[in-house]
Amino acid sequence: MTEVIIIDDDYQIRSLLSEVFKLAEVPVDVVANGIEAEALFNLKTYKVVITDIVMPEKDGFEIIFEVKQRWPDTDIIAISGGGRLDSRDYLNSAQNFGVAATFQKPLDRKALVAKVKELLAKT
Amino acid sequence: MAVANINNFMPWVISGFYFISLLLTLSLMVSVVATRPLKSEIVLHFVKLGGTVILWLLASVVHQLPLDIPYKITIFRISTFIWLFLGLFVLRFFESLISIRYNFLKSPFTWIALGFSLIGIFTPHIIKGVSLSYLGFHTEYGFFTFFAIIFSVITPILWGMRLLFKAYKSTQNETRNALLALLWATPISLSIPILVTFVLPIVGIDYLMELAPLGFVFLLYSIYFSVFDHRSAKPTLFQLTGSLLEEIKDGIISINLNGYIDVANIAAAQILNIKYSQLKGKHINDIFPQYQDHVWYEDYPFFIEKANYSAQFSLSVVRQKIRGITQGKILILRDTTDAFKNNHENLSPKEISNSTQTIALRKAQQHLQDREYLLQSLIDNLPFQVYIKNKKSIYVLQNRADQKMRGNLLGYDLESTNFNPSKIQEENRNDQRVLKGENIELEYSNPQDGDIRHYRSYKMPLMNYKNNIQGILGIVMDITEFRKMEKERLEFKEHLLHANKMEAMGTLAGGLAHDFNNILGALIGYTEISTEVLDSEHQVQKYLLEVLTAAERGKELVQKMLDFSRDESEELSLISFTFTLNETIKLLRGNLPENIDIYTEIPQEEYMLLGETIELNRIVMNLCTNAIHAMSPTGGTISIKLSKISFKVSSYFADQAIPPGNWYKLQVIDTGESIPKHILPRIFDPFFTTKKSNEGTGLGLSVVLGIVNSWGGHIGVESKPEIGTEFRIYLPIPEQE
Repeated sequence: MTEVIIIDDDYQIRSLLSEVFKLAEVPVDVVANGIEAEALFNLKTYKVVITDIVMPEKDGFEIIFEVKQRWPDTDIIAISGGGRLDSRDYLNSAQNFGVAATFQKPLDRKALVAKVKELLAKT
Repeated sequence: MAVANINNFMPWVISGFYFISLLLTLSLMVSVVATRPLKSEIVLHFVKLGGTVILWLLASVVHQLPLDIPYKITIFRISTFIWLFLGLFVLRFFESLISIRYNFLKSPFTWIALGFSLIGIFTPHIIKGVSLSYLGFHTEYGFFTFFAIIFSVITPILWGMRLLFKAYKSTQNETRNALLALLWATPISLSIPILVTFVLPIVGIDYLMELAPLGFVFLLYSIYFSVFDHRSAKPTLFQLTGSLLEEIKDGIISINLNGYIDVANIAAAQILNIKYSQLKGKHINDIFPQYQDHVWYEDYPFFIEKANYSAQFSLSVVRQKIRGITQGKILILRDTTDAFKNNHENLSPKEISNSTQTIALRKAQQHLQDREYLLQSLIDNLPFQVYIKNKKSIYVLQNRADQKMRGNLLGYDLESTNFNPSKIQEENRNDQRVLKGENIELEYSNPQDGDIRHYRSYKMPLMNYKNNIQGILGIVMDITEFRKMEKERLEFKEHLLHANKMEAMGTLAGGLAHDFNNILGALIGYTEISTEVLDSEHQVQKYLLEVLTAAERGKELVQKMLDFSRDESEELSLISFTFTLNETIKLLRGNLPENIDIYTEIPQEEYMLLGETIELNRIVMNLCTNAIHAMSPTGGTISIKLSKISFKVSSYFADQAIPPGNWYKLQVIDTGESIPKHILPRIFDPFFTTKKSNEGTGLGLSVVLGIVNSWGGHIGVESKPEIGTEFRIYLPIPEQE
């Protein structure tokens, strides 16, 4: 059962993370934006949502906000490559939204995988 | 027998001839008398002359009639009485032309004529006898005849011609022509009598003397055409109406272009208290010294005070123009003595004169003074320095402002002041340039009261009404305030520009960084995976390591670029919160739309904050820009409040939890359109904006958020419809060291 969804607008990040989690033997769904994620959200409930912050149309904050509202038990991991602000700034804001963890890009693969496994482990 | 026939026939022809001449002369006289006033002296004398000639012609007619010789001689003798007086009458006529009156009885010529006439009548010494030729009867002259003719006829006529000539020399008006004509006509017409009387007898022709009257007829006609003809009537009309002039009470003096009196009437002489006879031929200033030829007089009062005569008259001058050319002037003097005396009975003539003139003078002076005062007030009260220097660079006028600035320099030039010598040199150089017609504009600065003030100085040449340069006009304006405002505006503009640039740069860098980080992410990610998949001993491992190193360097580079574009140093410094806030608000005030106000509640004391001045500036500017946007076009008020607050427990504002402690509270409140509830959470998102794409990048609030966060502060927003929006920023109060 896929319990993890990754939302990122960069195709290489998507393929990278797919590969990473494949190697880690963690099934993940990978989507490009919030709208696609929405479609999947309507089908199932995820345990972990990994989302990029700076995205067009629906950005990470929106997704975090919605997920937090609709599925309070779902954990959210925010990742960011920054933008106008330093990625830390975005991630700080994300923290205020109550995300489980934040990661800066370029990602520390190992840490990310570890965190996901940790979140999946808890009930 | 033939002789007898001729003798009988010819006299009748001659008689008839003279009769026709008589009729012609008579008709001439009649026409003159009928069309000219008989009162005129000229006409009178002309009539006398003409009458005498007519009588003579009549006598000539009678001479030729068949009468007995003794009777004929008697008639011839009687007729000497006539022609001997002719010279006198010609003279009289000439005199009347030039307005000379002589007493008839006092004139010597009268007695000469009379004397010779008596000799002629009662003795045979003038008319010896009568003889007959084929041209009729003629006289035989006696001893005295020639003398008689010379002294009684020719001499007075010559005398008359002399008078005419003198008059001709001194007259400037058209009577000159008449006089000239007569001067020619007289000898020409008298050449006939002279010829027949004196010349021809020498060659033996002594029977043509009776033709003499014809010369006088000719003279009469010459006189008529030169004096009485309507073509030359105009100037002589003036003289013909001389009698009219005598009737007028006003004094009339006609002067020529050189100022010599042509004509004057008695009234003029009386007013000026001079003998009438003394007027003729004199220069006007001889008898009327105050008269000035080039002045225009119209009812201008004059005053005469002599030992036993005082009078006042008003003078008007009229130009005498003939065919558009001024030939002379006519002075009209109106006696106003009585009228004046009635008004100023007890004053002496001198006092009277003074008072009239003084009143007029005073009035004029008063008027001038009023104008002067007005102008002086105006110049004095101008809010900038005005001065005037003459051609020698001496100050002749300074207004109040100029004297306040530089002291009283009137009557002095700069050299005598204690101004800076090099400055004085420069001023003098500039003065010279201005005096040559240049306009100079320059600026300079002076320390004043601990401040530096800036001035703009204008110097220009001062012209007089003839457009000659007569001095220097200078204006100096204090442009310090103006410069200050300029500077502030410029600074603000620069600041704004800088902020915009930074934002743009940030956008660029940000966008770049974001994508780059993704790229790096993929690069690093896959490379790391590769290192794990391969054997640790694999030769490619070291290559992969290099790739990772490169990627790492790329990461650092991006970070550096971001840091640079954010123009941010990690170091925060203690800045003055209140001061910076006030300065920013000042800048804002200068650029507000008309319908938006700023209301502030900012304490007097200085709050110290850990942060960056530019960033604080940016926060306030961004928040206010948004507020302005929310409130246009309806307008409203932005309220900016700064205060200190302490929490013992966490406090909440909007979605913000503020931990306990000491905080600065900065509020920016607007009364504009409220932010809809669903948008509210997104407003701090980067690139999030409700404005059109050309109005904003959507980064303003995200920047603010970033700054507040980096300073360890919190920002929240509340927005209610009909009320407005409040942004609240909590910033930590630095620990006192």
